[in-house]
Amino acid sequence: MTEEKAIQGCKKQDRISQKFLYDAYSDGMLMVCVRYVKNLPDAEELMLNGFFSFFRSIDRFVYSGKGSLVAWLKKIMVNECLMFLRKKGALRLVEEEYAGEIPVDGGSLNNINAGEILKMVTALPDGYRTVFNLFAIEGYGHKEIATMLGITEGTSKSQLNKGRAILQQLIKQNGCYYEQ
Amino acid sequence: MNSNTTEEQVKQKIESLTTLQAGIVFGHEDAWDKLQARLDAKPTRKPFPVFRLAVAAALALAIITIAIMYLQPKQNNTSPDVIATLPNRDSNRSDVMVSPSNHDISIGQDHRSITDSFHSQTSIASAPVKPHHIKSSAPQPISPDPLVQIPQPTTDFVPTPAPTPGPVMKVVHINELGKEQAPVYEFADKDIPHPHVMFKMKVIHINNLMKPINQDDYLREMQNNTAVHFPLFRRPADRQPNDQPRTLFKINLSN
Repeated sequence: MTEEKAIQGCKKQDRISQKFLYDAYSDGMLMVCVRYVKNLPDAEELMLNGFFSFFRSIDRFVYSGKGSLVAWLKKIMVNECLMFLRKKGALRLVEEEYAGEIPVDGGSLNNINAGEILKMVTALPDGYRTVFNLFAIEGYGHKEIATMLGITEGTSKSQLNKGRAILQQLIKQNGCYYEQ
Repeated sequence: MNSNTTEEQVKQKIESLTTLQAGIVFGHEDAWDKLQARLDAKPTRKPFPVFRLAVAAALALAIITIAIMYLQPKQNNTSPDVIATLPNRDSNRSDVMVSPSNHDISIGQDHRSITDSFHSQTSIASAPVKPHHIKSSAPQPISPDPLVQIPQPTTDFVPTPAPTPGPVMKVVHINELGKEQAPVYEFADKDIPHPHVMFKMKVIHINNLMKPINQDDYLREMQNNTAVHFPLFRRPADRQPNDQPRTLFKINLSN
């Protein structure tokens, strides 16, 4: 079964097609949720919510080639996570003025495995982690992040810088160095 | 960030991470079962709020009923069975009867039927103590000007021109529909140096539509044709030789 056919099947509420897409993307989507929400059961619940929303609203999805489905699913998952964090009150960020970019030493992460990096990212405070994820991993701009989180662009930049600084410290503690 | 390369590395490493590599134990099939159950579950519709609807309908009905009751124009539905009884609180005056004379009726067009029937009723009510001295007179035309409607003196009737506040008489019962009885009559003058006593009678209910009238508004009532006057007479046995047997009995008709 191809992705496209599976989507067509999902539009007809075909359970096999739904299972196919779930099997293909549930792991990746769980990892997306884990990046935003530290707690695994919460992340699992959010992932299920995301898939449920996806299957319910699949009529609106237009398949436009490989990657479009993953992008759509990621967007849904990120929205679910942000809603969860907002309900939890984790996104009440204090307005800050952007004080300029904090110089970061370049370094190499070659010696750190992906699991370690994930642990470092999830170790960041909620606000820093969310902004870092949205900016560095999802690729949103500060303007979009500000709109999504209801904060100013300056706050978004400030949160990102502080997150980076902490991450840098954590990477250094692991014996790795930034390279220029 | 100067460390764009570092962030790109972070991104690449994180995106390539699987649950297995991250050491996350994920109940893949259990989660699917949960998801399937949610997908299978039909959206439950909330039960129709019958109780709320019933309460709302009852409230609306009550409001409409109250609105109709209060907004309806008041009507004078006084039945012709208007009966006036005199109180026995004052022995001197409890035996006063109502004369069928219509000399003193100063009413508007709307009240004619009331007074006419009143006259017929009072004739019956006063049967045991027939005022044989009363001379019946032909009905006088009602003047359109209420100020001119002061009773004209006749040989056996001298009206009192205007009432003055006095003691209170008891009850006026105006037809059977009046549930409450007017608590008071008022005598114009307690000591009554002259035989012509002006009774001012408060009417509380006429078919439940009448309200108590303010006695101080007497003149205004006269002008507005809201007062009905009836001549009253003492019992023949109580009469003094020179006593004028008539007095004025007034029913205030308020709107």
